[in-house]
Amino acid sequence: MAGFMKRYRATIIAAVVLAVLAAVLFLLALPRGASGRLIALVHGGDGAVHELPLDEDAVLEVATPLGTNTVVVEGGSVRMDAADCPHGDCLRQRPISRPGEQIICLPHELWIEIVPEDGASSGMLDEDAVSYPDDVDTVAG
Amino acid sequence: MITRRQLLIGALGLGAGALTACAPRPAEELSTTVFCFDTVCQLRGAMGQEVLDGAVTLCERFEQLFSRTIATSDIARINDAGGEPVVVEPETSDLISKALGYCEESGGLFDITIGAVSSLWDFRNGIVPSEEDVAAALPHVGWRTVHVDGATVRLDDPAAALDLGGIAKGWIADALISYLVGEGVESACVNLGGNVAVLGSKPDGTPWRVGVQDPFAERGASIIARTDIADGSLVTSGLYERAFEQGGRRYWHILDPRTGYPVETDIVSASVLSERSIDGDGFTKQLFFNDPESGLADLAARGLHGLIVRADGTMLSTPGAPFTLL
Repeated sequence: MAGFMKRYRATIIAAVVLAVLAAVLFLLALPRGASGRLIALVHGGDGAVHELPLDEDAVLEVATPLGTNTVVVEGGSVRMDAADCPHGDCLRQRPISRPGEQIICLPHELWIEIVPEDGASSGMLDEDAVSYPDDVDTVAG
Repeated sequence: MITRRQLLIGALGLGAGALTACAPRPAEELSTTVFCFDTVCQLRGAMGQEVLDGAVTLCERFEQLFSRTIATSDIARINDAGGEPVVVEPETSDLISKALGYCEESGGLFDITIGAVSSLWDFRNGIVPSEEDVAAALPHVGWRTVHVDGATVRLDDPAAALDLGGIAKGWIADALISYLVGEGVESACVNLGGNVAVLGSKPDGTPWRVGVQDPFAERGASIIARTDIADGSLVTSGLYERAFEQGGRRYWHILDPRTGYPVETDIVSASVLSERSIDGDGFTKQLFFNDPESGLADLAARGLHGLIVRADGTMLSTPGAPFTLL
């Protein structure tokens, strides 16, 4: 046995390193929390963070000195239902339901992100995570 | 002679290299969203942080120059000069000169001296001015009162007022694209509150896919059409923007320089696809003053493409327009 170990030591080390590398890559590639419950974190312009589970329909009105937004959870996705911001760009963003997606209302400094139930906030606005209808890159008008 | 160990380490290195190569190589694509020009502006593209920061700084500069409501802006200084000549920055004189070209081409239906009237309206808070105030302001609308001489701008009529809201974003979008080209950027997308201009294709080589807001969706998340653009602009104006109802009547933000009131039309949304965004801005507004067929024929004669949505939901476009209707 000792002779076997000695003879194939390098092979075994290589196999272990490759296995660990493959496992790490596999875990990184897995969508986090894909099988669990999802939460919409609504970050208000006043710094308050509201948690809305996506599996419970709900209406949340966030009113801060910057303005008022109405966020609706319905059928497993969350959308901006109403906002008194100047241009209504947040209302043009598609309802979101997947981890990492965001809806942003910049004038009101309010943003919504989807995270797994046990997941933490990404902590940052990510315009690229905003999705538009029909997979367009941006919307005119 | 290669030892077994060297061979194994080499194999390991190759394996790790192959695994790394499987991951897509991320293009250096940056984006930012800023509140400027009274709207949300999105800038994105394959560029370094310094270049992106430079674009944001430009936006801030243009806002300081062109905003009618910033007292120190070139536009506010011209409006407050009581008819005296005002020395302005080169960008301002360029914007005004180009804007006057659209005033002339539209026969005055697009008029940057609408400021005397537009300042009476408050579309955000739903305030309709009195008929007397509109009637008193209307004689001061007339683009021929504006004179640009090098870096100097003068209004013959001391009571006239510039409002470049209908054209500035197009000019700014073009200026941002020019800046990015100068910085060696090959892929970028600028969206200034719905005025879209793109440079090149997306970093992955496919064209930018740009949607047209559904005018009936109450700012809902839906589009009525889309088009793929590599180098070019799509500008959409809709009567749904900043519109309000009062006394059973609906008011929208595109004012008729002949009446001082919102233009009477059955067009609810007009889009222009053009090489330069200023053309999009300059020509979309005019479409609301014409019947859709002749407006689109005029666009086609200029080599531009357009899409019009009428109040009954019907859509018309220039022949061969590359829009996918949804």
